[in-house]
Amino acid sequence: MRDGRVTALAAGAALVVASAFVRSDFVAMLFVWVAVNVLLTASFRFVTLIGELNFAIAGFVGLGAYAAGCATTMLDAPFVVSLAAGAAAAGLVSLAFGWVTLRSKGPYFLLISFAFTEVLRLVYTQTSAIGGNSGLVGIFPPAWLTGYYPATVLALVLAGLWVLHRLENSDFGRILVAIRNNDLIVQSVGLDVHRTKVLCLAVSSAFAGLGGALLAHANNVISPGDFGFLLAVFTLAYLKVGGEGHFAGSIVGATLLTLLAQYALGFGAFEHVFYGGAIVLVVLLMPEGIVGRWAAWRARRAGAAHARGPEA
Amino acid sequence: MAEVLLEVRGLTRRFGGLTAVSGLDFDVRAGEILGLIGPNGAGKSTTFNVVSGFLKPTAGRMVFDGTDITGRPAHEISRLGLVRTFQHGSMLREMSVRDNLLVATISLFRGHAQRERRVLETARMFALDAVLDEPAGNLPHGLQRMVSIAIAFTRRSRLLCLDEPLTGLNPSEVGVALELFRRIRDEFGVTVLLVEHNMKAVMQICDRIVVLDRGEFLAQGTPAEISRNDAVIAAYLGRRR
Amino acid sequence: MEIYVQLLVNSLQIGAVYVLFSLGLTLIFGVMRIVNFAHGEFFSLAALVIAVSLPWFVGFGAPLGLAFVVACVAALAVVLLLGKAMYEFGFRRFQRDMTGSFVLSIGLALLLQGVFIEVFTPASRRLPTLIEGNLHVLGAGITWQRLVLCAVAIVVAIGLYWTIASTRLGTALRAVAEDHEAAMLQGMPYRRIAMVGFLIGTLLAGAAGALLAPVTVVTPVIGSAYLIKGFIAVVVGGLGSIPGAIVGSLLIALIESVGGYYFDPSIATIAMFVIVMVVLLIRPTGIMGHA
Repeated sequence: MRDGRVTALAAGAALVVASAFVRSDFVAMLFVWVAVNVLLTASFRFVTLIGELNFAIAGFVGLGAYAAGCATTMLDAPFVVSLAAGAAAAGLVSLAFGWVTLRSKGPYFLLISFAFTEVLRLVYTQTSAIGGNSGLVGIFPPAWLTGYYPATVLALVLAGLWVLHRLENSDFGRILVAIRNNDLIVQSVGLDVHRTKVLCLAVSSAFAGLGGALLAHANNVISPGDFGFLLAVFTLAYLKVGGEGHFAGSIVGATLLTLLAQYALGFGAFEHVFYGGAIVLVVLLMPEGIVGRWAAWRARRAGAAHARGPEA
Repeated sequence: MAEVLLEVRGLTRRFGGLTAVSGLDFDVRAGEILGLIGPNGAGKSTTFNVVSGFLKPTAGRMVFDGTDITGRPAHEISRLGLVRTFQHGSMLREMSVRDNLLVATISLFRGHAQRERRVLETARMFALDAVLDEPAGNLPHGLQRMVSIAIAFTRRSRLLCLDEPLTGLNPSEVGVALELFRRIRDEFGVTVLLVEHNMKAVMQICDRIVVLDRGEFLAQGTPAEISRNDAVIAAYLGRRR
Repeated sequence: MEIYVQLLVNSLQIGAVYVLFSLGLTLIFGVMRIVNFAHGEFFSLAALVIAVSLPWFVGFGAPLGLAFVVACVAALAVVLLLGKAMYEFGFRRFQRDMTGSFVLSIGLALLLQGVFIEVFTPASRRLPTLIEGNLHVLGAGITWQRLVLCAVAIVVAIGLYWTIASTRLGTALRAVAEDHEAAMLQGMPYRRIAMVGFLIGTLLAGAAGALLAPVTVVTPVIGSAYLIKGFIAVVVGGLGSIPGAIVGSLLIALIESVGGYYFDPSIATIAMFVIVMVVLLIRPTGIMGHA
C-alpha cells in the first residue's frame, strides 16, 4: 500500500511538471478538462460511500462556477479568493440542502437533487445580473499564472484527491460505508447518521464547487446550460466506466472517457450516443468498471500463486 | 430495593388510526434481566423502538439513568447507555465481523489499540474470534445472531435491549445464548431488557417479566407468577380468531 | 370567471398526457421496483414514427383519419418492440435493483435520444390537423383534437384502473407489486407478470406520444420534458400508486397552466420543482405513497 501511494504521488508530481511545458493551447485545455472531470468524479464517488447518487453535483459545480466567476469579474477578487468563494458557496449551500433533503433516500433523494439542479439553472437564466441565459463572460485566471494554469489546476486537483482519499480511509470514511450498509445499526452504536451524511455531501459539494471555479476560469465563459442534468450524467458515466468500488476508478474513468470523447468530438448527437452507450455497455457487461475488473484479475492471480505454494 | 434504571410512564404510540401502545408503565431495575412478552400485535416492537429512540412517542415519558430520554434521537440515547439490537437487518452484512464490532467502538475510543482490544475481548466472549475477518453476511444464522448481540455489547452500556435474539436458534445455541446473558448480567453488571417469543427461554433466564396485550400493560411478576397468571394465559390462548 | 375555466380546461388537457405518461412509470415501478429514466423515449419514438409515417400513408392516398390510425398501430408496435428489447437485454436483470436499473435507464435514455436524433434528424415536424374546429365548454375554448385527446386519455386511465382492480391480470400485477416473494411462492410466473407490467407501462407512454403528436411540435427530444414532469407527478403522488400518479399529474398540469399564464413557463417550472421538494420533505413517500 505504501509504495502504491508513493508511485501515485510521483506520477502526480510528474504530470504537474509536464503540464507546465505544454505549448499547445488545446492540449493545455485537455489537461484542465481531464483534471476537473477527475475531481468531479471523485466528489461524486464520495457520496456513493453513503449509498446515494448525488445528482445535485451539477448544481454545486454551477454554484462554484458562478460564485467564483462573480468574485473575479465583479469584485476583482484575487484568484485564490475566487476559488475559495466557489468552494465555500457550494459547500455552505450544500449544508443547508443536505440537512433538509438527506432524510430522503434513493429515488426520492435523486428527484429532489435533480429538481434542485434545475431550479438553480432556471434561476441563473432569470437573473440578468449574472448574464441570464447568455451567461457570464470574462472570467480569466490572473496574469501571473499565464502558461501555468493547467499545472495549477492539476496541482489543486491532486490535492483534492489526496484529501478525499484520506477522508475515505479515516474513521469518517468507515462510518460512511457502515451507513451505506445499514444506517440503523450505525445509529444504534451512538453515531449521528444524519449529521454525517450532511457532512459527506458538503465535502463532496465543496470540491465540486472548486471544480466549477476552476472550469470557469479555464473556459472564461459560463452559461446556465453548462450546469444541467447532463453534467451529472457524464460524471456518472465516468464513474461507472472507471469502477465505483475503487478510488482509482474515478481517475481512470474520467481520464479515459474525457479523452475518448474529445477524439470522437464534433458529431452533435454523437455525444449522447457516446456517453449513453458507454453507460449501457459498462452496466451490462462490466458493472465493476475497468479498475474493478483489473482488481479482480489481480486477486485471481494472487490466489493462484498462493495455491501453487511459496516457491511459485 | 434495586435502583430503577429505566422508567417508562404512560407510553403511547399511535400510527394514524391505529394505537399500537397505550398508557404503558413499567420499570427496568438495574442488574436484572427483564423479559417483555405478549401475543402478536401486543406492541412489544413498538415499545422497543420508542424506548431506544427509533420512534417518537405520541405521549408519555421515559427516564433512563436519571436522564429524560423522551423523544431524543436514537444515537443520543445510545450514547447515554441504552443500546439495542435488531431482529431484522441486524448487522453490517458486507463488512467483516471485526469491522462490525469496530464501528461500535468509534464513539468510545480514539485510539486504535483500545478499539482493537475491545473488539477482541468482545469477539472472544461471543466465540467469534475465529471468524473475525469473514463478511458477517456469510456466517451461519446462529453466529449472525451472536454478531448482532456482540455489536451492541461492544459498548458495555448499562442497558442492553435485545430484540428477539433467539429467533432461529437451535436448542443448544439457545443454551449458549442464555449462558451469555447470565454472564453479561453477573460479570459485567449489565441490565438486559429482552423481547422474546421463546417462552421456555424467557421463563429460564428472566428475573422478572412484563406482559403486554393489545398495546396495554397486562401483568408483571416473576416467571413463576406469570406462568400462573390467568389473564396472561387467556391472552395467549383464547382470543379473537 | 372565463379565465379560470379556461385554465382548468388547459390543465385537464395537459394533465391528460401526463396522466398516461405517469401511469406507465408508476406501474413499472410498482411491479418491478425499477425507476425507468428511458420511459420518455417510448413517448418520443411513438410521436416520431407517427410524424414520419403519416405523410407517407397519406401519400398513398389514404384518408387522413385512417392514415392516422394505421400510423398509431405502427408506432405502438415499434414501441412494444423496443420495450421488449429493453426488458430482455437490460431490465430483466435489474429487477428490484433501483440504483442499477436507474443507471442503466439513464444510459439508455441518452443513447436512444442520440440514435433518434441521428435517424430522424433534429428537425421539428408538425402533423396536419386531424379534426378541425373548436368548441366552447362553459365559455372556455378547446380544439376538437385536444378534446378527443382528453377523452381517450380518460378512457385509457379508467381502463387501466379497471384492469388493475378487477381482472386476473390486474390482481396478478398487484400481487407481484405487493410482495413478489409471496407471489413466487404461490406459483405465479413472477417474471412474466413483471414483463407484462413493463410492456403495459411502455404502451401507455407510447399511447401518450401517439395522442400528443397531432397537437404539438414533434422533435426527437420531446420525451425528456414530459419525462421530468412525469417523474415529478409520480413521485409527488407516491411511487407505485395509480391514484397517486393521477393526482400528481393533474397537480403538475395545474401548476404548469396557471403558472404559465400568470407568470412565465420558467417560473412555473421553478415553482413545480420547489413544490416537489417541499412535498417530498414533508411526506417522503409521496402524497399517496405507502409510509
